[in-house]
Amino acid sequence: MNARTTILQAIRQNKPEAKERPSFPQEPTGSRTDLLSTFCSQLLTVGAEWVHEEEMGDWSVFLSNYYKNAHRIVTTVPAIQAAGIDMLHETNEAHDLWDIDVAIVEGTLGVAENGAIWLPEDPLPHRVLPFITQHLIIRLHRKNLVANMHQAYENLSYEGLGFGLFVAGPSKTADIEQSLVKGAQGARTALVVLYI
Amino acid sequence: MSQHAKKAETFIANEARTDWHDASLWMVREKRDRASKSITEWEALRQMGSDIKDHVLANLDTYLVQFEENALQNGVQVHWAADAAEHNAIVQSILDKHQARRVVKSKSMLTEECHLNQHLEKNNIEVIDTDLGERIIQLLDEPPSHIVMPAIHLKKQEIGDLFHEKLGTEAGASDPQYLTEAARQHLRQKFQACDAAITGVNFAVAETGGVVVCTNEGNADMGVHLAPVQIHCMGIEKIIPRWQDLGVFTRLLARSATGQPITVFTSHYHRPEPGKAMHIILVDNGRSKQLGREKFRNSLKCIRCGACMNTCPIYRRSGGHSYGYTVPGPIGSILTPGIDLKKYSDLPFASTLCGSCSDVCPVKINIHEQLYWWRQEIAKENALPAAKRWSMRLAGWTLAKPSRYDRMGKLARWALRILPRFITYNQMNTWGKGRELPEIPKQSFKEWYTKNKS
Repeated sequence: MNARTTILQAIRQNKPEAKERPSFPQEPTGSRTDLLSTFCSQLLTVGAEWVHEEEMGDWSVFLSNYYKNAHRIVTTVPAIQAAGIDMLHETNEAHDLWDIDVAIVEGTLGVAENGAIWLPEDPLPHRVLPFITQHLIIRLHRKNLVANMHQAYENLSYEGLGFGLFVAGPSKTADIEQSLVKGAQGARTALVVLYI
Repeated sequence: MSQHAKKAETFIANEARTDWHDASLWMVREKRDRASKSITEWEALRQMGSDIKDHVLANLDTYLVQFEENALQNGVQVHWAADAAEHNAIVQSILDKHQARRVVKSKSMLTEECHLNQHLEKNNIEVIDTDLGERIIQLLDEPPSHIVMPAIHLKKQEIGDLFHEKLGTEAGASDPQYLTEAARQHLRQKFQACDAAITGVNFAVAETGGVVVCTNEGNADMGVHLAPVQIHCMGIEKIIPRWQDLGVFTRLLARSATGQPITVFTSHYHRPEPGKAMHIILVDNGRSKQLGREKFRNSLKCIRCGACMNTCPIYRRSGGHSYGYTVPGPIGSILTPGIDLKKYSDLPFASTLCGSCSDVCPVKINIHEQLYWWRQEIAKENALPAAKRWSMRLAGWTLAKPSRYDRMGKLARWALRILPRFITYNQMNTWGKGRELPEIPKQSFKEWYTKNKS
C-alpha cells in the first residue's frame, strides 16, 4: 500500500465527528481617513517609512537625495520614468539583479491594521526582485486600502495566481539577543509612496 | 531524576543567565499581550482560529485530497510520506533528479523533526539553514531551543566568537547589527550558488492548492525564487480550507509569536515559475495516530507560534534544550508522549499546570489539561520513575480514607519533628531540593477547628 492510501485510511479511521465550518464576522470598515492614518502609523511600527507622492517633488531629485550611494535604481512602474532610473522588463536571469540598489514596484492593496502591502507577481520582472534589492520602494494608490486581513483576502483573487506576497516593512531579524536589526536577508529599507 | 529535571539543573546552574533567559522570553510575552489587546475582537478571532482547525481535523482526508487536486492543477508535484524516513528519501530523490548538491533551507520544524539535514549531509549534500537564528545553531551544531527564536539561549558574545571562527568576523565583535550584516553577506553567497530551496509551510490552502510561508528575514523567498527547484515540506495538519481563512491565521500568528502585527513577508506560492519545478511533500509521521486520540487530537491544531513557550514559567527557567525534542515547552510536552510515551514520560510533568499556555494559545488548545491527562496515561502505562510511582501510590492510599488520612497526618507531624535532617531530606525527596518545609504544627487544622468551633 502506498503512503497516500495509508495516510488517508488512517485519517478516515481516526478523525472526529464532523464539525461545522465557521462563518466570518462582519466588521465595521472605518472611514477612509481612519484607514489612511492607521495604515501610516502601522508602517512606522513595522519599520517602514512613507511619503505622499505629491509632496515628494521630482522623483529623480528625491531618489538622488535619499539614496545617495545608489548606483542602480530600477522601476517596474511605467508611470515613473525619470533620469537615472531603468525600466526593468521581464528577466529569467536572477544574476542580473544582484547589484540593484533600489527597486520601485507597485503594490495593489494596503492593509491598515498592519501596514502590509500586496505585491502580485504580474508586474514583477522576477519574483525575487522585492527581496534581492538593497532598498525597496512600493508605490500604492491611497484609495487601495482595506481595514484588515479579512477584507484583504476578500478583495484579492487567487485565480491564476502564481506567486503573491504581503510585505510589511524591511527585512528584519531579532535572532541575536532579541536586538532588532533591519536588513537581514532581504531589503534593508522599505519606503511607501502614496499617490492619488 | 527525569531527563528534563536533570538538564534543567545544568541550565539553572548559572543563575544570572537563567534570569536573563527568563526576562528575554517574558519581554516577548509582553509584546504579544500588547499586540493582542490592540485588536478588540481578539478573543473572537482565537475562537474562529480554533473552530476552523476543529473543522479541518474532522475533514482532514477530504481537504488533503482537495489540496492535492488543486496543487496538481497548478503544475505542482505532490508527494505523500508516511514517516520521517520516507520524507527524507523523497527529498533526496528530488534533489538527485535535479542534480542538486547545494541546498538552502528556511525554517521548518518538520524537517528538524525528520532530521533531514543529517540525512542529506550523510549523502554529501550541503544544506544551509538561512534563517539567522537557525544558521547560528547550525554552525554550533546544536538543535533549536525555541521554534520561533532558535538561538534565544545564546549570548551575543558567544555568537560573536562563533562568527569569528566560522565567518571571519573581527575577534571580540558582538554588535548584533555587525554580526547580522556578516551573516547577510555570507548567506547571500549561498543563495547565489544554490541548486535547490527547501522551506517549511505555515498554511496550505485546500481551495487554492497553494502554500503560505511567513518569514521576517525574507530568507525563504531568496532561496525559493533563485533556485531552479523549490520543495515545501509540511505536516498534514497544516491544511486550512479556504483562501479567506488566511485572514484569520495571518492576524493571529505574528501577534502571538513576537507581538508584530504581521510577519514582514507572507508569501503565497501557487505555481512554479516557467521552467522551474515546485514540489510539496505531505508528511504524516504520527499525526494520523494522534488524530485518533480523542483527548489529545486537538494538539494538531497548533500553528507553531511559540506563545506557550514564552509564557511558560518552566520553559523560561529551564531552556528549550532541556526538553530533548524539536518542539519544546508546553506544546512539545503534549505532542511527545504520543510519539514515544516511555522516552518522553517526564515532559508532561515539566509543568506547574498553571494554565498560562492555554490562555495565550491562538487556537485555544487546552494544553494544561492535556498535560494533566498525559500524566494519567503515563501512570497507567507504568512509565513513572520508581520514586514518583511509590509516593503517588502511598498518597492515593492515604487520601482514600479520612481516618487513614488523620492517622498518617499525626504520624507525619511526629516523624518530621524527631527524624534527623539527613533522613527527611534524603535523595528520594526531590521536593526538598532547594525547598524548606514550614515549621511543623502540633495539630492539624481539623483538630484545631474541632477544639475551637464553639
